[in-house]
Amino acid sequence: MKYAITAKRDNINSHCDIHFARASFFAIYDNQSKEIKFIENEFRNIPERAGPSVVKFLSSLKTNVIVSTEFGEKIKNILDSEKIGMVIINDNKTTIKKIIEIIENKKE
Amino acid sequence: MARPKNLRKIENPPQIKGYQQVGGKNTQDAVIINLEEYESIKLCDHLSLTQEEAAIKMGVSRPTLTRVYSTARKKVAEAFVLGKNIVFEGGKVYFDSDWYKCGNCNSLFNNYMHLSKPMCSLCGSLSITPIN
Ligand SMILES: [Zn+2]
Repeated sequence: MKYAITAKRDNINSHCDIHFARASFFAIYDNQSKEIKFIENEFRNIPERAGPSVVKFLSSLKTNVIVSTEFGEKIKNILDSEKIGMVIINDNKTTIKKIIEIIENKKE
Repeated sequence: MARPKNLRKIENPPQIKGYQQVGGKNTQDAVIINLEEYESIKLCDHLSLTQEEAAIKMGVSRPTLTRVYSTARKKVAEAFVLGKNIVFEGGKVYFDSDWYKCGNCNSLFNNYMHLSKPMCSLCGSLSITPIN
């Protein structure tokens, strides 16, 4: 499974970012290869349709699940149609490292 | 792009793939009911919503709903009267997924794979509760 986790900065001690489409970075984590990659969100400052643009981009990376502390109101329909899952983290002080640990302990 | 504007929202896919007629002759004949037509019958006839309410649920205009619903009923009638099978297939739709709260890692997640036994997308836990 491929996870895209919103990140404030480009390292694993960074907090999960608040706004999905306006996140600074995405931590792309593959729980099969254990590879983690930080990608700058180049759509974060575009005035319109940042959400759909980010979804298209993450979908092209074959993302299965997006992890964030918040999602825009209209984004769920688009993600549902792309069959990409959403996870909302309750605590915005959660670090990328912690989220990856939770995924790692997953029983599959 | 993500999705065309005229895409309809469907709450859940049908539980079966269709119906087979009993005792008729041309056992291969079938009418195809697409998923938006299926949803219109479900909402208007099974759940007794008004056409107005059904249109809002599916995210389409009232005239579009009326047209889809009327086609759906004609197809059901055709199957009944002419002894045809019914196949549920296709349509410009997406499935609205349900939200859950995980009792283990405390996150919220949607059942985007439409699993009958959903598990947390993050930690894999089955101790989850539906929210809405
Ligand atoms: Zn969980």
